[in-house]
Amino acid sequence: MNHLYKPTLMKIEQIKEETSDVKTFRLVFLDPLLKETFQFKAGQFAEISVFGEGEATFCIASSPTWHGFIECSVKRAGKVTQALHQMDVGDTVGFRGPYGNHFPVEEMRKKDLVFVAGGIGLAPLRSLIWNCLYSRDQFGKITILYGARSVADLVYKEELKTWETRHDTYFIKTVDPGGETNDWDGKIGFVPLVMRDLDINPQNAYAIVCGPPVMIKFTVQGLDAMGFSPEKIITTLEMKMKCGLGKCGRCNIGHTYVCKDGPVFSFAEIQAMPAEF
Amino acid sequence: MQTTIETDIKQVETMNKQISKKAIDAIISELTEGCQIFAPVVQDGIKLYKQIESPEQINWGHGNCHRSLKELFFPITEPVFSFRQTRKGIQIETPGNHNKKRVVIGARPCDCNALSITDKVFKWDYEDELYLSFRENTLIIGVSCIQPEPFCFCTALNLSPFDETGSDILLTETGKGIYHANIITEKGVALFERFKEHFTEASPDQSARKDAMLKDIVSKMPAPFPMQDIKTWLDKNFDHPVWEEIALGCIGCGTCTYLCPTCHCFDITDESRGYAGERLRNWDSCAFGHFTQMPAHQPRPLQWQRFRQRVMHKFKYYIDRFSRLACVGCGRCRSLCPAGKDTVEVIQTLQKQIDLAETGPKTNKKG
Ligand SMILES: Cc1cc2nc3c(=O)[nH]c(=O)nc-3n(C[C@H](O)[C@H](O)[C@H](O)COP(=O)(O)OP(=O)(O)OC[C@H]3O[C@@H](n4cnc5c(N)ncnc54)[C@H](O)[C@@H]3O)c2cc1C
Ligand code: SF4
Ligand code: SF4
Ligand code: FES
Repeated sequence: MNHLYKPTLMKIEQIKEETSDVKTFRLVFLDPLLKETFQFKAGQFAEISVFGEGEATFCIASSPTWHGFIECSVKRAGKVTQALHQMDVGDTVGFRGPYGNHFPVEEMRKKDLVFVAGGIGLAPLRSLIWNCLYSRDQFGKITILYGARSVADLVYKEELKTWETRHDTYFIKTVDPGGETNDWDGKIGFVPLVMRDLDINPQNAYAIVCGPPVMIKFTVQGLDAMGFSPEKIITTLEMKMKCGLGKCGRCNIGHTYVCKDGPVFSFAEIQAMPAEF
Repeated sequence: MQTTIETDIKQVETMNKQISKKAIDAIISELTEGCQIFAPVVQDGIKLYKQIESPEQINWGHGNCHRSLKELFFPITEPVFSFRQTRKGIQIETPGNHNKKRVVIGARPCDCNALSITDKVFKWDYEDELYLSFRENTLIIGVSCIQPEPFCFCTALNLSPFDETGSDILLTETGKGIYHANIITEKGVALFERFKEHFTEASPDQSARKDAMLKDIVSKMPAPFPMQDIKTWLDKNFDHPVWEEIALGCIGCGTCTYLCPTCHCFDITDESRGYAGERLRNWDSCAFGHFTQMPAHQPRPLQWQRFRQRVMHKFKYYIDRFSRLACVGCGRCRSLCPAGKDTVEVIQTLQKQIDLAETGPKTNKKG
């Protein structure tokens, strides 16, 4: 019997060590047809499993415009993530997905975009950023502000360089005070504070924010103060998930199933929820 | 058995028949050939829905099973697949026991009704084949409650001890060894057609007697609560200080949610030995802290917040989502909570809040 909880198999094609506790896995479907036809949208997530250890939830961190593989960046946090970190190229994992809603890419066309990410929160935004850069001319000014606790905690270091040198993106990086190195050429300061000094025009713009809850909280406050309307501030919510299908009952905030109705929400939608996240 | 297999319950115009206890036993005996039969069985003083081999095992006594009917469709623990690491890669095998024909006899109306609540969850958007295949292949013969237990409060939620929802056939004992039989769904009709010779027409007398019995039973049970008003209050009072008070004493054992016929939360875990193992789906509970514990974040760190989740889910969130209450008043939670927490008292406390709000400013202990 085929059913919702039966995963399809993927092979680990490449592993990249991003930081001391984050690895990016490039995964390829064993089924050649699925490998060719698999599609998803930026912001969606998957249940990745290590057989014998269990499943865990990860956003798909690669761009929907890349074909033949997907990538997930995994921070070591517990049982499954630890097991994933111990796997090698060639090993097999289980995949269920893609699940959840996605970033409103269509609505974002012709608008200025401000991406604000903290730590591994860059993972879902990386998918969206490359998605937008793929058809760059359809979007207005693109600003990317990325911060991490320290230089060693920055993920996707090669890609940060690319964004920094591209003339069609305005890229700012920062680390928390004390997290800098001698040769650090970025800013020093918390993301919400650094954001205040940026030249951002809320008119005709979308701000997309992903990161730890504290960062999101203060960043959204900052954007609000700049004049962004709550509908134009987009973020993702992280609740514990198991099924990803609106069945297991653990990801709810009020009557919202974060796994089905989210994980992408506008700040306006979040304001309407009970404060339990 | 030649019942139709349908995801959606096909309600037909109810047929009123009559059948004797003896004839029911004969049908059950015949059905044990080729069908799995489940019924209330008492073992070591505990009453549970169990698979039976012969009708003598059925406990026809009053009162409900300790655990609800949901476990026949949504088992306490269930392998969703087994896996084996071989030289050729990982082999996955899904369970093959879901297409056996099953008949449940002796289920209480509240438990049957509760299935219409879990159905909605397992069916919306993504269809959960594990649950739904069990549902499709099972025929349910419910039995009306002619002697409800002290903890029962289905009537307070506008349900009836003779409720037909969820049963394919509903039996009501109208005289010693004589049952009134409502044939409710297409599945029920198929069973009736097969065993026609065991049924007779219900006499107008018998139907009248049944109605009188119901009236009498309901008059002794709790009167309807103003659930709409309570929902309206819940809509506005997620942050009300009374929640801490309401939850006082709850030790977070999860008993209420495990026993509840409408609670449907689960966990998915792996168990393995060497190169083989199983992925399991297990009942879980919003009463547990680990339920929502994330690596660096816990949205419900305190027990009263978890208690609030359970109440909110039953009396507000589920309604917002699926347009009906997620409680059938079976009373299990109130009768077996080790801390004496009582769902009816919770509802009454909420009702008091509404009265307070109407009669004057409330004096909150905390702001
Ligand atoms: C939509 C979504 C997208 C996500 N995307 C990503 C992503 O791209 N990358 C990423 O790395 N992560 C992501 N996550 C987070 C990721 O799902 C979790 O880190 C992962 O599930 C952890 O699984 P685990 O088995 O390794 O940890 P577990 O073993 O389940 O435990 C995780 C941690 O929780 C703590 N914990 C568990 N139980 C308790 C308890 N009872 N009391 C106190 N602490 C406890 C443990 O200390 C442990 O460190 C995402 C989550 C969501 C919901
Ligand atoms: S209400 Fe009672 S049964 Fe439910 S978790 Fe709390 S103590 Fe346990
Ligand atoms: S909440 Fe209590 S009374 Fe209501 S259905 Fe669940 S166990 Fe029964
Ligand atoms: S993750 Fe199971 S309901 Fe959302």
